[in-house]
Amino acid sequence: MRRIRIYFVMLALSALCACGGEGAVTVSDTAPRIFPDYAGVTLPVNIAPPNFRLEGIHARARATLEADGERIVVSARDGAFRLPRRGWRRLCAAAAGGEITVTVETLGRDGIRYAPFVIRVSEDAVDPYMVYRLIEPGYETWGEMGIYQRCLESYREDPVIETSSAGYGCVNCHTFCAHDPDMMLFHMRQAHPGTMLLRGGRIERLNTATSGTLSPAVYPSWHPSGRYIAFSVNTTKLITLPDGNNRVEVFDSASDVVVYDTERHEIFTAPHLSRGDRFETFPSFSPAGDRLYFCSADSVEMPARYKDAHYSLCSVAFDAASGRIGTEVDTLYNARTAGRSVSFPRVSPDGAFMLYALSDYGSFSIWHRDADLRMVDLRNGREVETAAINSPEAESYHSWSSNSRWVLFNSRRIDGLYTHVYMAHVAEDGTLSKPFLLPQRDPDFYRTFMKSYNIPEFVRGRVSVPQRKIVSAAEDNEAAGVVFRVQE
Amino acid sequence: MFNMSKRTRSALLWAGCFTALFLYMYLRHGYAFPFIEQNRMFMWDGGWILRRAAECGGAAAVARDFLLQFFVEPWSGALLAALLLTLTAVAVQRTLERVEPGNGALLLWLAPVAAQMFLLVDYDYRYEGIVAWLAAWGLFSLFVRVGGGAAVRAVSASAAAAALYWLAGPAAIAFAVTLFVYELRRGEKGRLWYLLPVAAALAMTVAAYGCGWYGTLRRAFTPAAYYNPMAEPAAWAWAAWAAMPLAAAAVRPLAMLCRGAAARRRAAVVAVEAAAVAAIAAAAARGARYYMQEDTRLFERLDYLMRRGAWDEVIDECAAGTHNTLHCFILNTALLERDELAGRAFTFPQAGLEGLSIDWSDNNPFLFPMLSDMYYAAGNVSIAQETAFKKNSEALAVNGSCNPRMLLRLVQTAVATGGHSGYATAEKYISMLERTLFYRREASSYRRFLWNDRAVEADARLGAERANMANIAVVYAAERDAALLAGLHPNALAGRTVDHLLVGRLLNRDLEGFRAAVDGCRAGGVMPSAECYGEALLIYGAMTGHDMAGYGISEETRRRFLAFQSFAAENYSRNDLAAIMRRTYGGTYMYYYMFAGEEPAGKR
Repeated sequence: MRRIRIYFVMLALSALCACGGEGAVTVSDTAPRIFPDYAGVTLPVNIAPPNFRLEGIHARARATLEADGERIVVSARDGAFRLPRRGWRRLCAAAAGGEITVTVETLGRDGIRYAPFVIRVSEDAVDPYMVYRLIEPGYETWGEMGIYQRCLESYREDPVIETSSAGYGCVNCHTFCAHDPDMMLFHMRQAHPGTMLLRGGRIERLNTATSGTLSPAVYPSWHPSGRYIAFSVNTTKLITLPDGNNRVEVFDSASDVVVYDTERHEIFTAPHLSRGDRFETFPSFSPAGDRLYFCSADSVEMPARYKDAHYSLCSVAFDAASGRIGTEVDTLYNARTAGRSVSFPRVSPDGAFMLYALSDYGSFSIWHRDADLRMVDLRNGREVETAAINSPEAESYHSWSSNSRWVLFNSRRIDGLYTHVYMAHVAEDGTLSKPFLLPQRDPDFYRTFMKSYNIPEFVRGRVSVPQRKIVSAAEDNEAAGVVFRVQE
Repeated sequence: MFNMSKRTRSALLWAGCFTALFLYMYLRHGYAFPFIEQNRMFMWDGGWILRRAAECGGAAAVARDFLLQFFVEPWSGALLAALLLTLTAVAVQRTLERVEPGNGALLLWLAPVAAQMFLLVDYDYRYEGIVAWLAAWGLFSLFVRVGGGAAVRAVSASAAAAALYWLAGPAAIAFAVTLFVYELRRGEKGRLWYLLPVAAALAMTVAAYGCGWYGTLRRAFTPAAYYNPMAEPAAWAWAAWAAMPLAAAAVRPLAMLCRGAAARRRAAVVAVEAAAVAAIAAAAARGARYYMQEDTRLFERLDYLMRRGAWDEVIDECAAGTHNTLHCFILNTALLERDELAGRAFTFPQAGLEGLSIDWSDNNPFLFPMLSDMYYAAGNVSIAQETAFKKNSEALAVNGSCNPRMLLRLVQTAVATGGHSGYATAEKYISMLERTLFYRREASSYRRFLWNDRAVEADARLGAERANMANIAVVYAAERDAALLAGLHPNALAGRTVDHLLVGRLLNRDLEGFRAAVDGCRAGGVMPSAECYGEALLIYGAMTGHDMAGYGISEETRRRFLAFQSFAAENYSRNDLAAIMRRTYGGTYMYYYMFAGEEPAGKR
């Protein structure tokens, strides 16, 4: 009995020591270094908790998040903060249109209380889902990849299609009609090749290769009516470069733009979208559907002169009622005079802004460290300042939210190799906020994650077609052929 | 002295079994284990373990990676493999003894061991298969020991089957079926209750397929889950599974046969055991034929030596002769690493250009580590990196974990490349490798180079790899115009790059391309000297009438070439010309150029 008492006394003493060992706290006038860097960012009111860790600190720590009377205190044993979902929701609701103040302090003998930093919360909600492909970041490796959907309000990620279910071919170029999760398409290569068209639960498999086109359909853009889909057709190659700057170059040695009519199962183009002396690619319909934007470059010998391919940003009129492509080509960015190269033009759903990637040459900007995002205010032709979202590494593929208030884009800014998804708020005048990295449940997720996020797209809801149904359709359905014509 | 207790006898039996298995595994398959190990990586990181273990089948995969990290040496791999197999045998024997005491069913516990013995040295087998097998059998064993009403046992077995499926995958089906067979054989009341665990396991299968956890229905449902998803599972995987319910079904009839006094029954026992021995022997012979081919074993050993940079041992090992193109490729890599490629390239049977520049256009992942080593030796960081990257991708696709060997190469190439991208990527990989048991020290040694260009440039190897990147760009450009090779700059690896290029031309018997490349390299001041180069130039001169006087070819080489020419002219009509010329000229480029493919070259 006496021995038990001694144990109890020792236990109590140890507990006291553990609790009372914090000592004096040093107050620092600098904010803590955190990863992901959420200090000063603007978050949508409905985003999942932005868990973060203290850079280089693996000690006990505490974060206090406060906003308009709401307060949550989060403890971390190893410097990694995982915010409670309900508390975060309450905090966001209280801070909507304002700020959350975050105060971090490390605990223990040499505790430091850092200067607080703020997280702004926008009242503009973001679309609840995003869809992206996860791939190896470079070279031609199709080991295992997939197209996934992620709920942005939580961390839940589900596969739309994984190659492990579908014969380990390549799946790529997923796109949606006006952010509608029930109107989706993507391509399958090698195993069960074809373009999979998912419309309202129906799945169609298309063989878009024709004798009149360079290749099966590649980069897509869905017309807002849902009837037409513009594609590029490309002869694409990849080479490895002995160059510390850009390790891979992907280039087209020929490319055209075509439009697919889903009702008539017909692919058509116009002579000025399929010129032999030019490379036309990256079609993109305007939200009203009355214009078709695309990139176009003077054709050059490939791969010898890959650095001489400079793509201009052009557009033609498109009449959805008659399915006619306009004959006059407007040039919005002239690569011949400006000297750089445009890729992935995307107009915001409200028609106010055009966002595109600009790099020194070529069309595959994600492999160019010099690639940045640029934005034009289409209402007045003014170029909008985009320095807030760019970095010294590649920024490339981007997508608008359905309310035009958010953009998400790929960036290689963390390590120059793996592409990650960032989001930034776009004010009505086009002012861009500091972008934030897609939140994950585990703050250390990105440190061991070995895939790249590719083609992130906002979607208004969940893609509900089960994977097995898509795989069955790919395996069982004969790919429907299409006819080709050139518009006179 | 011989009056041993049953326990001692049993311990001795298992110790003997373990020793025999260890010796067999070590002596016959030792180098297969490090080869398997390199394509999996276990990180001592709670977050990583939890994230992986939370996936369906993830717990078994984490256990697999934990075990396989110790396969880094042939002896430790053999030790663990023998331990796993002995554990299998012990588990089966003890459980069957419980099911039917004194059953004498020796072969029933040998069968799963035999079935899994070759799987353990199969590169495509995923070791979570044996972990899952043991877990399934362990659970079955537990239910054999635990009493209770049929309904309660069945319901708890259903929960266990569902949990097992979540932790270890479709082995849960084998558990449920084995339990059902066992209960059926027992013939107790309420045995149909035991269809419930089977239903639970099948329900989990359907859910797993529906949620895309296992890709295909076949993988969700069968032992294919424990095999490279891009390959057809070996029959052994099925045999190991089938052994489970078969053992449960056969133990009682066998025991009854054993206990019978009648001579006829004894004969039946002998017949059954003989048939089982024959079946196991036939299967073992088939497995031995497939898994113990001499060239595979040599390849595994060479691969092991390559990983350790034991280049001299690679060369010595190949001295006895190479068996195939891959061995030849490894030998050429070792010679290049030792700066002896040009000097010794024709002293052993070459496999043509493939032996130096093996075709990897089909993205065969098997080749990538060797390619990465070859190109790193040749000072070509970009291809060394690309091939390492591709192999690592394959490991991620097949096993869901990295290839630490290739991750180390990626660290080397990323550090050599430098810049934000190179250093940040290297840091990511270093921090991952630092969480492994056997790679942390080497990975940490690269930390001092991060964001430190001066340290990289001062390092003999990394500095040379970095400096040589410009030369590789020149070599690529020179594919269109060899005169561009004049732009090569001397550095510690330039000679290897040139040797790789020139020996490739020689192996391909492309003397025109060789001469043009020599001109370019001479103009760049990076032309290494080697006797084979002089011989090749003399052949080129003789064939084209060009004067080779300005190439600095030694008098001895010229005399030898003239002697070769006149000997060949005098004996041109002889059928055994290759053989007789080999005696004097074997090991020269002249001999290779004239006779390669007809007769193996002799040692110089």
